[in-house]
Amino acid sequence: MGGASKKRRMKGVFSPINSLPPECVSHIISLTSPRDACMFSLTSTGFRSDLFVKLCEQPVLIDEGKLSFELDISSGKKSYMISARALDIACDTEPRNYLRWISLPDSRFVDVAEKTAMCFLNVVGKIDSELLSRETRYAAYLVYKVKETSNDLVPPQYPIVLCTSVTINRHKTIKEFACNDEIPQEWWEAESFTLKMERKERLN
Amino acid sequence: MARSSTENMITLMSSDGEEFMVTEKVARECTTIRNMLEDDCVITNIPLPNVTSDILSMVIEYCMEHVAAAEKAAAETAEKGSSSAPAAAKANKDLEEWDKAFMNVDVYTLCDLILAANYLNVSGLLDLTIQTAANLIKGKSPEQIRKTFHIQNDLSLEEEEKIRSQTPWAFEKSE
Repeated sequence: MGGASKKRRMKGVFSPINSLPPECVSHIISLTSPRDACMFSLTSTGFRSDLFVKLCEQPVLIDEGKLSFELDISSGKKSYMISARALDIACDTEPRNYLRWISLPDSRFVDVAEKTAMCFLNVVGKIDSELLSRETRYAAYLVYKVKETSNDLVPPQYPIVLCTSVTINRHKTIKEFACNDEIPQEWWEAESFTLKMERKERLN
Repeated sequence: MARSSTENMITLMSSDGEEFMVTEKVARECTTIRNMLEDDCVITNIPLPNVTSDILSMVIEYCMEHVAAAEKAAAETAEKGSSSAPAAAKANKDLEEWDKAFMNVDVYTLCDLILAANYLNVSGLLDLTIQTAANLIKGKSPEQIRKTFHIQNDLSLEEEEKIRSQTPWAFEKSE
């Protein structure tokens, strides 16, 4: 590593940042502001195509896959998804737990929580408010899907719920939701609360 | 650092053939090595073909400092219980200061440390180095970032204009 960097130093052509794997560069950029990310993308074509556009077009998994990060190119606001694994999900039937972990091809996260019986869920997610964009109204959305099939534990009128994550996103209006609802089998989002990020505020 | 004679020693070998003898506790700070040790508990010699001696010695220095700090904190809590809280806060602050001084390196070393921390899976060191790199980008213009990280500008004026027009918010003064 050091030897290779000495070679690069002599040539003076390659930035040491070029030697980092993309997930490390994405992680670095996720800790800066969207403005910083944009400035960084203006440094060279490599970072432009590799990073900034990716951050805007598709979410990037960070923090060992527990968090997904996205940047809205038109507004420059950041949004995050907290994976179900990183959430504290409890059934009201405790100590009996009606949750199990499954994988779904259309989820960005490795694990999705499946609720296998009728119970209330208490979902707690935490995010460091330092990660969010300032002066922005955020909302938390529970991202879930309803499974058609049923088993003995669940009567058909109480469908199985699959929970993938909690999204911390810019607050949407009801109108924006409507178009999603027409697509069957889509992941649904339920708004739980909204919060206006001021200059200094802590969200837990 | 207190070291009992019964403590297992592990030899880590850098890509350029230098050997570093460390306690198993220090080696276990690297999750990659911890997993190797858990798979094969008799292993005592670990070649690390992706890490040079200068970077490996720094990673070991970091791990030793953090293991020593954790041991000291545990000993104080055991001795004084909750009354050790002010001392613990000071120790935390000292360790933060140590980390800060440890990050006083050039960007080549910083990026090599990120690579090593990522490969060896030393989460504390990875967080520290990634945050340091992020701090080097914050609030800078593209030209300043290029200078900091020795990046060659290969964007054409047209490309630069296109990015600027797509992201007008990034160039507003209020941001």
